[in-house]
Amino acid sequence: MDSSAQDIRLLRALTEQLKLPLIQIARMAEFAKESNDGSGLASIGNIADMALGLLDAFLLSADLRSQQTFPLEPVSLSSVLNDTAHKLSFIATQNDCDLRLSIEGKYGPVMAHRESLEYAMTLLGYGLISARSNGSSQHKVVLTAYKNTNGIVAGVFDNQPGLSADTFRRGHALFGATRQTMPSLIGGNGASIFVADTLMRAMEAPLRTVRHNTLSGFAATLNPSAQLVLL
Amino acid sequence: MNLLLIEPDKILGAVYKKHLQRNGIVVQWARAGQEAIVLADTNKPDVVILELQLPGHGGVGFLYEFCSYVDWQHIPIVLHTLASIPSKEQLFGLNIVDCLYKPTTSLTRLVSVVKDLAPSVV
Repeated sequence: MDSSAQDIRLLRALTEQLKLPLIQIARMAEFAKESNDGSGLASIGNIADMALGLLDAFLLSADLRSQQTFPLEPVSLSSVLNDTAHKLSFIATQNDCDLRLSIEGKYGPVMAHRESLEYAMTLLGYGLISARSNGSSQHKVVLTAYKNTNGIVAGVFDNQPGLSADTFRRGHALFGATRQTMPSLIGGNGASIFVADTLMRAMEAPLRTVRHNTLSGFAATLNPSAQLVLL
Repeated sequence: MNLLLIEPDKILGAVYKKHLQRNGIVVQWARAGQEAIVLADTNKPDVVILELQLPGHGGVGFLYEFCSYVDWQHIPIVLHTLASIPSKEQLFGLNIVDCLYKPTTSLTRLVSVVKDLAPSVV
């Protein structure tokens, strides 16, 4: 698929996904006004920030794909995941989700585009936290990094069922064309997950579905920075 | 009036439930189809408000299951959804009494639609 067709599909999926945070803001504001209850105002601000982040991530993915060379640099994965956890803490609290950070082992920086990596992890976290909590058991989402034979794996995992490579592959074929791309996983169209994948693909580290320990999720394999090796 | 709200989004569901309760409506809230069936089985609702974009089988799948139970076939159902409204052919026989598009339906309107159903509730 050429990039302009893909941009259009992503844009369609994105506009559908943005309806949800905007409706959340509108209804919370209406409720606050009618009940003179300002306790939701902080939430409104956080939701607006997340929606803006989704837009910025899409714009970044479009800009990066139009560039001839991709600006990779050594990036500290633990720093990225720490910042991501901080950004997601509000959404996790709102959704009664147990959000954790798991950096397994010690390793140096990875070669990545920091801004893209942080957006991608944030969007994955947002997608899994907000769309996968079914209320019947404690929803746990873990931002994880670990080493394997191919490199350093960074991803977002959770303890809910339904995620498989087939589901993700079918979702890829459907996004931008249908409102529910992975219905066994989430009720919405999963645009945040596909924007995250577009950002990771620009770094030649596409997302895939992975099982790690007892959790399943989306992850990408990144190359370790060779700088320290040369020293 | 006992209302069954089927809304997967936690933030929206909490707002709808609080607002409906403030207007004197008893609300049971389910976030997925199966949970809704269990709640309806425990405490039969007078009205159902349903978001079509449910995880799993989806809202249309839930509708067919819900309306397959004889005891529930007369319960009025209001679609309150982000998705486009299905065709009349798809909704035939499913006791859909109103279709509300979420982006253009205020909390006030939602309560008004539910309260207008009160005389028809047995």
